[in-house]
Amino acid sequence: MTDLPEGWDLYNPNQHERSEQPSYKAARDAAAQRAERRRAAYGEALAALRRVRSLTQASVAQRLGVAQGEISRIEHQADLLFSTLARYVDGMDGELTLLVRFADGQVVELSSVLEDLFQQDRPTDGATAPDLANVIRLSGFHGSYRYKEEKFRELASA
Amino acid sequence: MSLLPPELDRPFSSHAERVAAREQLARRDATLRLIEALAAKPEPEWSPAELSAFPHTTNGVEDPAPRRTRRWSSLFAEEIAEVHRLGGSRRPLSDVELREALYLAGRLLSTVTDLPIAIVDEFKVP
Repeated sequence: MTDLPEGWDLYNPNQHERSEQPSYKAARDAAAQRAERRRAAYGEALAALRRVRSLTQASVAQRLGVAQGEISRIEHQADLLFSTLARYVDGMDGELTLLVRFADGQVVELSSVLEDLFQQDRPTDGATAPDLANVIRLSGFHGSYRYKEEKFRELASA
Repeated sequence: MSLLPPELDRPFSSHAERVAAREQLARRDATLRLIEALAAKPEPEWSPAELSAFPHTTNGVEDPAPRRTRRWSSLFAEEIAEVHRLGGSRRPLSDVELREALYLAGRLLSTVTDLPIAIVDEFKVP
C-alpha cells in the first residue's frame, strides 16, 4: 500500500488509469511489476511441483485429456482460477487443499468446508444441513489440535 | 494433506446410527465435564482412585493428575467449550457436525487419559 499515491481510495479510473502524473504512473508501474513477479512465481512453483513428481507437461496433459499446450498455458497464466489449479493438481494425482491461517493461530481447512457445501445438495437419510459456522469452527480446532497437543506434552516438563 | 481424519464427512447410514452417535457425544461430553470438575478441585481433595485414573507421567516426566488435568482444561478450553455447546445443543446436528464433534471429544479424552481414541469410551471417572 505504501507505493500508492495519496488519495488512491478516491480512485477514479478515467482520471487515474490514464493519468500521466508521475505518482500515479509510478504506482501503476509498481503494481504491474508485482503482478508480473506473482505470475512468474505461480508458474515456476507449479512447474517445480510437477518436476518433483517426475511428471512432464505431456504426461499431465494426457491424464487430463488436454493438449500439452494447455498445461504450458496454465504454467504461464497471469491469474489462475481455483478450479483450474485444482484440475492441474488433479492431473498430478494430487488433491488441492486450501488452508486459511489466522493471526490468532486458528487454522481452517477451507477445502473441507467447501466439500460440506457441496454435500448440502446431496440427499441423505433424514440428515439436517450442516451449520457452516460450526463446521468452520470445528475444522479450525482440528487444524490446531496437533500443535496444542505438542504444547500439552512440552509443558509437562516446564 | 488433509488436516481432518478420513470419513468425517461420510453420512450416517441410518437414523439409528445417528442417534447412537448423538448419545455417544452426550456421554463423552459428560465425561469431559467430570474431568473439568476434577481439574478445578484443589490437589489435597483428590481421592486415591481419582489420582490413579490418569497417567502419572508425560514424555517420561512426572506429571501428577491434578497438574495434568488443569493444564489440559486450560489449554483446550475452547475445544472443550465447543463440545459442550454442540453436545448440549437442542438443534439436530448435521452428520458432519456430529462426526466432527464426536471426534473432537474423543481426541480431548485421548489427550488427557493417554488412551487411544478407539477406546476412550472405556475411561470412567471414579
